[in-house]
Amino acid sequence: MQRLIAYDAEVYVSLIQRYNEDIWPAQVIALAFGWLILMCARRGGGLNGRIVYLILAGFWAYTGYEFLMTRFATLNWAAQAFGILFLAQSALIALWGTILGKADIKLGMNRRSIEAVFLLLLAAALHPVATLAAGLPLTAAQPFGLTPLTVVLVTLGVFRLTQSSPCWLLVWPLLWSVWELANAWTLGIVADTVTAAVAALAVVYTVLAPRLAR
Amino acid sequence: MTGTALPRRHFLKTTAAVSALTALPFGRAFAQSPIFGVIPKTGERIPAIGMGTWVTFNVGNDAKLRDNCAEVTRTFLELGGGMIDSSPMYGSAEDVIGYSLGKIGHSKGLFSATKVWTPVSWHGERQVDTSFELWGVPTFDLFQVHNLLNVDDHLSMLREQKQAGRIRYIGITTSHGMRHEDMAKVMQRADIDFVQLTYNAVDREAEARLLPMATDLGIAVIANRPYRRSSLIDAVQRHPLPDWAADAGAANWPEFLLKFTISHPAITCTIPATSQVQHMRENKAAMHGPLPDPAMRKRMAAYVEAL
Repeated sequence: MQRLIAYDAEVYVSLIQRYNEDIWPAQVIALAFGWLILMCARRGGGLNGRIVYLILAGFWAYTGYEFLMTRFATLNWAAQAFGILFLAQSALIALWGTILGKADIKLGMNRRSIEAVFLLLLAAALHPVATLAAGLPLTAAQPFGLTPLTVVLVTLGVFRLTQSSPCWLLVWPLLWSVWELANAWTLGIVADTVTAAVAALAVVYTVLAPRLAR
Repeated sequence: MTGTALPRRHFLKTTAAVSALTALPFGRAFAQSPIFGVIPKTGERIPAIGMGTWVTFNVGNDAKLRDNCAEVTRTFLELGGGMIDSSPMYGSAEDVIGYSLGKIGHSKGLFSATKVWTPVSWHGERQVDTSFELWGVPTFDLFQVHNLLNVDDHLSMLREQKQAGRIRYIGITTSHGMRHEDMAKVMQRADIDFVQLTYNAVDREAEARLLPMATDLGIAVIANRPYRRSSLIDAVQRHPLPDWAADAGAANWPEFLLKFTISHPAITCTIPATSQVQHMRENKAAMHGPLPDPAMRKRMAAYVEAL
């Protein structure tokens, strides 16, 4: 693991800060897409499911290329490979949810929807608040849907809104949440550690929930 | 070493140290002149305190942090220079070294050392070329096979580069006390100039076999992780320096730990990494003053282990 984390917290936080500065106002657009996800889910139906998964695929592709392959690659020799896997995950999400139209999404007054909204809120608001609470500037917070950690959270949220999502789409989010946890823990970045821990637990819960319900 | 000829004051110090060297059994000058290590294959001497770049120089494109690394490098060269060691595994570290040397405007006193690190044989040569581009040096003083990865193929390639005059020395590395058995086998079968391994007051496994073997085979030894990244220095600094530290030539904990490492007769140099100019000054200060003798080394190791 040490071989993958050849940088310190100051450098990593600085990378996130410069990323936030460089991509502005993409954060606002991403948050608007987050809102659109909820609106589409509220309406439900095939077309809205396709739209939600297209947005999700876009988040994975943007993060894979713009964050991992372009920025993170300056710090981590494995980032190019990570980026390619993000692009592959983007393609799989688009294939399953948008092209094949298999995503049956629904936002309502039920437990799954509450869990989904919590995960989206964690990525959009709670993580930035935790970053501020940890004494870092807001620019050090990972932007909604535009870094791997928040993409995983948004994905898990969308999966909770989907009546039945395939397990194979969870493999990479699970592995990535473990990586994020290890990275944040090693660097001692509190807000990222807490957020990544929630993400890892959420993936496990998403896998186990259908089995526990039986 | 890479760069132009040594300035006169260095020449004088070097001459004095060489004179002292000839009278000592292990090629180490127990004198007030700067402490140098000897490369057994050629007799060339390099400063006993070098600089590692793991983590500290992997700062990406952050302009402020890159400039800070340039200042650390400038201080290192001003205080006598020596080995700067890096690897393609260290993210942007090689790029930042090149940036730093470019900003300083010279590489006087630099002993350039990096590694090839890829499981793919054909990619090794490309990595060498990339390192040349990133550092901006005309020749590399040392190229090593990182963590023994694809070691035989890469050593063959590095030998060709050495014969072509692009590289002066070749070697192999390991760290964290891992793969000592494999390293011993390569040392015995391959004609190499350097080995790099972990050695400090706590990690002393190499004393049993690898260090005596290096001496017997005439191989220079680079000690990495003299502070165990930072955990060892962080741990000992919570405790007072022993009263007798001055007898070991140590005025503070960094000197205590570094002098322990470089006073082993088989060690050519050690490569502590830092991103702070002040820490670089402390590290380089360990190149001066007396070195502990074997009895004192035992005492130092026992003291650190007991903390």
